[in-house]
Amino acid sequence: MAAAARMLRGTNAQGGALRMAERVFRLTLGACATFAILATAAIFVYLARTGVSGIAQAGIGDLTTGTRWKPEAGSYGGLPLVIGTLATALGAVLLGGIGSILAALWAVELAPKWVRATYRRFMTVGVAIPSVVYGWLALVHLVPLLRSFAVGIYGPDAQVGGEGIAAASLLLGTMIAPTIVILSFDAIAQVPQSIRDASYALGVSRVKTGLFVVLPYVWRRLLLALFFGFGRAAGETMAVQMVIGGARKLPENLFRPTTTISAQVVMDMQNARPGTTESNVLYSMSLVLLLVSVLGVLATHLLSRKSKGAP
Amino acid sequence: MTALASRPQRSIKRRNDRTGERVLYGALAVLAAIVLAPYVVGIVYLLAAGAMRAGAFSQYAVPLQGVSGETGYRLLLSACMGFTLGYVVGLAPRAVLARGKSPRPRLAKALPRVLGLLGALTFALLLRDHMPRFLLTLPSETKAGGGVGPELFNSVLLAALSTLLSAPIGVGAALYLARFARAKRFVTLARAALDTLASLPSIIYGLFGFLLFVVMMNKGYSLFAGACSLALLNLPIMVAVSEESLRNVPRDLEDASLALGTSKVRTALFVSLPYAWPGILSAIVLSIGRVFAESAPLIMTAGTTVSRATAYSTDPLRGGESLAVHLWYVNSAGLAPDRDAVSAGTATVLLVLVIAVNAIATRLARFGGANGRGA
Amino acid sequence: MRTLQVTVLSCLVVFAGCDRSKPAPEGEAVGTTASTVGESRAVRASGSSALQPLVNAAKEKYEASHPKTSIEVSAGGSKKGLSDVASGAVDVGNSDIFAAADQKATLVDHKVAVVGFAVMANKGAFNEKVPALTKEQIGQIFTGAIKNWKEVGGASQAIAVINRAPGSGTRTVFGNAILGGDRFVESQTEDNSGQLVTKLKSTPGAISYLALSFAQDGLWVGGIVKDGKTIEPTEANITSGAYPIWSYEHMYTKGEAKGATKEFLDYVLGTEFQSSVLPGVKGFIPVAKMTASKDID
Repeated sequence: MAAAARMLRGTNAQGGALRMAERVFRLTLGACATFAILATAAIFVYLARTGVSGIAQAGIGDLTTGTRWKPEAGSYGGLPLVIGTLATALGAVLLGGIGSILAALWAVELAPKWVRATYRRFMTVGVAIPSVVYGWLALVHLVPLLRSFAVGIYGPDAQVGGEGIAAASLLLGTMIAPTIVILSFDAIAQVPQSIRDASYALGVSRVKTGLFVVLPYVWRRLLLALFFGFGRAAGETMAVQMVIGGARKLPENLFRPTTTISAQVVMDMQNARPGTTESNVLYSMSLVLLLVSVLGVLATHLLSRKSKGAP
Repeated sequence: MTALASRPQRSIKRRNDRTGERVLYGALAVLAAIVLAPYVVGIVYLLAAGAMRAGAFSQYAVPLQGVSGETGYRLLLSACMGFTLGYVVGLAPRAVLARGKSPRPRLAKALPRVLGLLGALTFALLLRDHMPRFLLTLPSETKAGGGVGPELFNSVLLAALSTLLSAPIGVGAALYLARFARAKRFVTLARAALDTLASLPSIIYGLFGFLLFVVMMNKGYSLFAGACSLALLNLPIMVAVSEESLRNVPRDLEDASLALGTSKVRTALFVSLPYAWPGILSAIVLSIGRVFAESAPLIMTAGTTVSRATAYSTDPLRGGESLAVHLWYVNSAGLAPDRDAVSAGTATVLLVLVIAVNAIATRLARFGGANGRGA
Repeated sequence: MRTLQVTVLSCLVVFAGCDRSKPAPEGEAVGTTASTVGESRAVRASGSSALQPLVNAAKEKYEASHPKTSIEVSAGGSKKGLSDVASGAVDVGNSDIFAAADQKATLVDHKVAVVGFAVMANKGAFNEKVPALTKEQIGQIFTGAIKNWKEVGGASQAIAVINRAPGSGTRTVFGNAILGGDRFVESQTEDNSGQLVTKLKSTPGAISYLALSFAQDGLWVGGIVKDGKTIEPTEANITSGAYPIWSYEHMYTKGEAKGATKEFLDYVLGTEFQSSVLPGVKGFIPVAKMTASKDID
């Protein structure tokens, strides 16, 4: 037994040095893995420390319920930022999420084979396009279009424009759609054929099978995809900053300028001096974003654990 | 009597079902087309709008602008472009040769690479001053005619630096988690940490990098800070994809190695890693693609300026603007009158870079995993 | 996917027509002998976008005569300029406003010019007959009390206020002069002056405030009506102090300026620049010409 064990461990004369080298190597690898844990912890600790001091300086009440965000006047009402983030992210998922899932369904189940592969390839390019490119295209083309649309709806006397939640939601929807399409695509493609066959055998048509049998089978993974899209939309910074308008208040309608957490943080960070209340409060607002992403991770874990037929 | 009466009703119902089915099918198809349309239109538009600015080779040599390192940059740029063009040109005859009556597989395989090398040499030696002016000149704050030479250089340098940082750590962590970890709690903790890192908004990395490097270490804006933030950003992808490649290594291969007396470490290094290498390479390429696309972390760590003195220097402690940041800056704070043309050009360059990176990644991914090497 | 890449790359090559324009000798540094660049010195400046045209004019002239020095200017707003120079990220902070009280201890002020600011708006049928507004009317427009051009004498058109970013010196100066503080209505923010001009030209009813260097024919530039008389934003009115919206353009350094920075600032403050170049740059007035003055904004 001991001989066998010795054999497995390697039996050359330099056994001692070699084992030392190997132990060092294993330790290095372990250090790499630990680094990931430490880095996450460090991010949370540093941000939380600065953020908490920001909360202490500005007051949690003002940060969560105040509606005037005016750091130069000492007013830190964070509500417009939070509402802006949530509204744009929600709008993005509504506009881009549902449509993407259905589009993926069509591509996997109902489309001819050559269409399927091409569709997925186009979407992988769409995922990789930088977000500032999306933002710039929206700024140059979408915003004027939306302005005419808004003036058409509200009349020329209304103070509406192209920049606002509508523009940001459309932009974010376009940005997250490829990701959701690909995730749904993979989920739907992994549905066992037996499920579909059973449905066909019962006389259900292809489209109806797709809609009412296949989709519900993978509802957890689809919901995961939507969560992922929501997280990405909530955290998107530069593209949103270009089309949201930058007015630090709650908007009256979808076509009035407003702001989001990430857009405001990036703009104010340029002027804020490190260590001041203005700077710390920006970290406090980004804690909200941290919270959203942590909740997303938890939801992912809960959903994945119960997910059937998915690695 | 009843049978006769019900038959017409049933056939009408079936006809309606089929129409209903066709309507639903049509609706879904239209929806899928609507979802696809923006990307196709967008890509075509970007290429068309920016290609004139970004792709116009100059008939007259663009004079050197007196920035140190400029010649080196021009050599590199022209060599890369030459190689790509030569390679792409060589792909067509390769397909023809491989399928012809007397297929010559070795020549066919080598053709793109040979043509690529030829292209690289030609471009580097003859055409390097005739590259598109947009890619060779410095950006201009207030005048028309600015280019993105330093920004392109910075983007590539950032990609290289951040890969140098994230690849070893990522592959090491993946190796440990896949093959060496023993404590289950540690693995769960590491996985949770990586999942959290993966879901953080990119601005958090910018804030963290700003706090750590610019404020606490008082080093000002630097490419190093940007590379670190991006390395952290890419760490989860590196670990995830590498881990999957390592897990796909067939157990028999490793068992055979272990049975011959090789230690676990040597097995991992000399058996598993080479087998999983193409997958790991595709992870690296994917993270490079991400570096090109990110702007928020870089605004706060690497800054938004290009300095004439350090435009093409490889010193990582100097600040520098990347392509994506430039696109944002030109639209948010720049005063150049040809903002739209510059933006279009920058967007096109970004798009081409990203598509190229994607193409390389798909090509490499075909090698990895179950297909084995050299497939 | 390969076919896609091939098509794309080939399109790029096809689209790339030859650029037949002769590269103009842009007055760029005499550095075609690029090998001697090794020792170049850089002066970094950032901050106000209103000051940028002037700094750029200075940069061109200075770099032509001092090929080894490069001046790098970026925008970002007066407050960013102040914060950058205080933290050492740049050598010179351009600002339309005086530094904050706590910054004044470490920063040294150099007043290089005077610039006026004016209300600018979209030019249309609705404000043809309204060449100027009273200070109260301007105030009410920018605090949101007046929402339509018809309330100030024009035709019916909704007013779209476009603000500058909170870090903008223009915003502070304008706010102090007209509103007695930063009491702007919260509305669309646009800090890029070039982008702002485009928006003003294309959005009916839009109104904002800019440095006079950006005034152009396509925009409605408003004077101020005081005691029945219209005070246009001209140089004469600004130097005498009759037109109230102006400020010094400051170039702050951390401590006394040294080396290349000092040489550049000496040039900008020197008589050659102030008397022959500065008057040629639209919208700027030499400090020496001012009869009025102020210590705070």
